[in-house]
Amino acid sequence: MTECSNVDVQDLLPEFAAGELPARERESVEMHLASCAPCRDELDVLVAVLNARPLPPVMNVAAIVAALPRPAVAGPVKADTPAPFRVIAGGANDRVPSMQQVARARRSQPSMFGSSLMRFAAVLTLVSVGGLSVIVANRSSTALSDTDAASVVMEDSSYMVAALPEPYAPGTTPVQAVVSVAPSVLPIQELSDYSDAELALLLERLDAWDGAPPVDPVNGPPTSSPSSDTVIQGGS
Amino acid sequence: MTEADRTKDAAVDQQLLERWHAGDERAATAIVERHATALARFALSLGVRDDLDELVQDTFVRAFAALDSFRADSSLRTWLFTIERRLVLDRRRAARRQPDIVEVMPEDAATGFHALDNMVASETEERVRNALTRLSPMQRDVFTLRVQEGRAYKDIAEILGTTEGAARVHYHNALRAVKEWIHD
Repeated sequence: MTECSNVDVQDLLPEFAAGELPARERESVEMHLASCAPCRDELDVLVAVLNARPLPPVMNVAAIVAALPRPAVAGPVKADTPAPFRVIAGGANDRVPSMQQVARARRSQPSMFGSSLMRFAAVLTLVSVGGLSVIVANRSSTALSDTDAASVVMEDSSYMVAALPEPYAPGTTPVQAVVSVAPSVLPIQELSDYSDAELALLLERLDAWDGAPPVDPVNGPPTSSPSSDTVIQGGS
Repeated sequence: MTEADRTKDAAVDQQLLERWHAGDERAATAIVERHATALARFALSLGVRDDLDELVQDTFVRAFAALDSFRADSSLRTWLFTIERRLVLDRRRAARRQPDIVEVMPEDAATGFHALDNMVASETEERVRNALTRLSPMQRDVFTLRVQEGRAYKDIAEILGTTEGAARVHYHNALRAVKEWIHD
């Protein structure tokens, strides 16, 4: 029996025998087989070999998975967690990523550091300015007389207390607004956690934010004119 | 398996590996489920009969310990087959160094087909298995990888450490021989 010279069809016969050819190629092979006895004979052999395929025992997948070495990642901690918020866990199951993996993570996420710093700067700005925005908002809505000057006292670096002088203007309620600012809220351990470059970038972004009021500490009575004095008006 | 199927398979494996790297345990289970049976079958075709579970497990452990060296231009299954075959060869070499252990040569490995449940195998299947035992180890490995595992010549060359052209020659020689022996 002469052999077939159609190499393309012969190459497809194992997949044809296994029923894995797409319809278009399957039809092409079928057309060839209709007129090629050597290929039909070859196909019979391949089908017989396929049917004689040994049947392996069922594998214990769970046992195999349990034996696998685990990837050296630090558990659920996200790779893009900014440094001040990063959890340093010391559990037995925690793994320290290798330098190679850290480098790979950095390569795969080129904007990770930048976005983290941006997020941190945004949170810091929002928290610190959020309280001040109350002051700004109330300043515009407060209708105290010009003689009712309010003093804003910074008690310490963590709290800002505004005390209203007496007598109070009609219709206003004296309150003490306590606004916490970033250093006491955010879990920043040390500013030294940041490199000089990071600090510079952080300050630059804060400076560039044009909505932030001046952050000069107020240790005594306001020096501005009474009409622009700050009054924190509380109300319930 | 067509080229499109191989590409799709490779993409699925790649996604699973990425999930595994991210700490997803289920990805490892999916990977093992996808390839364990094929690895066991390939081991049988290599003549392995004892400690099949252990061999397949060792293959996965070796592979997962060296995932950094896995190249994406090769399919995961091809890579796993390569590792498994090396493990089999290592075991045979180790067995040769230990005179107390029965030496298992590649030629002997084929006798595993003969030992398989002849009682339940059909006459044709038995004839095929007997024919496969008469092939050279390289011919048998190429032929079973091509026909029973659907691997492309490129993959076979990588698994067996040969060239694509040589794999084609071994396949056609094996096919011709098996055809002749089956019809004897």
